[in-house]
Amino acid sequence: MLRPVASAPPSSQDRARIDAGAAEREAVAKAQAGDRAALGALLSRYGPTLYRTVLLPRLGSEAAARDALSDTYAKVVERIDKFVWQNVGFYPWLRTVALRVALDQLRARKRLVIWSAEDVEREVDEASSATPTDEKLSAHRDERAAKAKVEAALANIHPRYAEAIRLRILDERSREDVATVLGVTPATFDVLLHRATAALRKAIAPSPQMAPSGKAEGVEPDPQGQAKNMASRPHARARATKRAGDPNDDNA
Amino acid sequence: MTTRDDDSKAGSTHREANGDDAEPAWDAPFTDDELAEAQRLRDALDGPSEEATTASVDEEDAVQGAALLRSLRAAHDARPIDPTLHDAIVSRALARRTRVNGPPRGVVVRLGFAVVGGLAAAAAMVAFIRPPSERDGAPAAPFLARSTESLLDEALIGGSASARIDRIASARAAELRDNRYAAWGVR
Repeated sequence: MLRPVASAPPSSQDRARIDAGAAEREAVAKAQAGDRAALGALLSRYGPTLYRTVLLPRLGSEAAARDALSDTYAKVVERIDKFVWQNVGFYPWLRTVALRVALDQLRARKRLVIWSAEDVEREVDEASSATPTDEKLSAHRDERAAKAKVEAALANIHPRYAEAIRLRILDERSREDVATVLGVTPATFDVLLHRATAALRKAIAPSPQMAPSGKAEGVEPDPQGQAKNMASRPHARARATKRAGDPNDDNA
Repeated sequence: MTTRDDDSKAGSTHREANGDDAEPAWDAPFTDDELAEAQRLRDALDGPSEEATTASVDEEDAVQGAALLRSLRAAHDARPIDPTLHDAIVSRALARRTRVNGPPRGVVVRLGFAVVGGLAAAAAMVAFIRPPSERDGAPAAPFLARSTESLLDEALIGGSASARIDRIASARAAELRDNRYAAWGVR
């Protein structure tokens, strides 16, 4: 004869999570009813995480991320009535709104950043279809994804270039320090970083698939840069020789 | 740390692996143009972090490069938003919330005009229609029509009729003026 199994009482952690979820649900209901303080509390609670883990990494600049955060809040204010509570809380919906705003910005911007519009579009699709997760787990995944993106980009260029970028940009060391570490003069390091940047741009630029407009998507035409590269090579040795004898040249 | 020879070989290998013979090897001698471009990139990196909107054609390449490098840093180690800035962004959004959920703007404008117009009409009524006794200053009762007898104190003397008539006319004119002022509420 089967005996009913008594379910274990919820642990203190579970109870805290349940209480927090109930409190948030109540706050959302109040916000939807027009309670400004409740809405402000929700935005203040999740906004910093949204900025740091979703918007800033994808948009690449603080100004763009702040604008996107402002637009995100505007959309939340307009559409909060349409939000339907799910047991994972308010953050997943907020994150999806922020991703859509980031996608719009990336499509409108002219600057090449490490995250492409196609990448973010995929993330929006995933956010809509995958099981939503709470803020902590979601933020952790976003941070990991951002670091993986950086490593993948650096893996696509020469290791020397990657090292130059890692030391100067990611580690934020001074130009002179990095030049010493790499065993070159500061001016040589400047050129090394310039070449590293050019290589990185080439590596992360999307393949020139033609858009309906007939132009390559996401790729800025750079005829001057290519012409300079092509022109520089035949004269490189002659100019280097000329520079070697110049006492004012700190490359010698 | 790799040696220069190792890096040269690695550079060649890297180029060949990528099938990219157009790019100079990382250790190839650089040109004056490259040096100038490197300096511009350095200036762009050291300059304000926000994107320049007035970059010249030559600087645009450097600005793009600096923006790309900064985006790497932002992805690798994103800094938190300043709390004061964030509070301001939240406040702006909430202010928008008030406008979004309020009555339609046209209704508000019409209502505003109606209220102001009503107040103006009420003020006009109070200012112009109130009884003269409530106006500022001493009550000015009009002069009543009366006999000229009081103006004729002296006995009628021969040859003084014209002067007398002048006095009467003058007095009456003054009284008429005063009556009019009283009717208009003017002191």
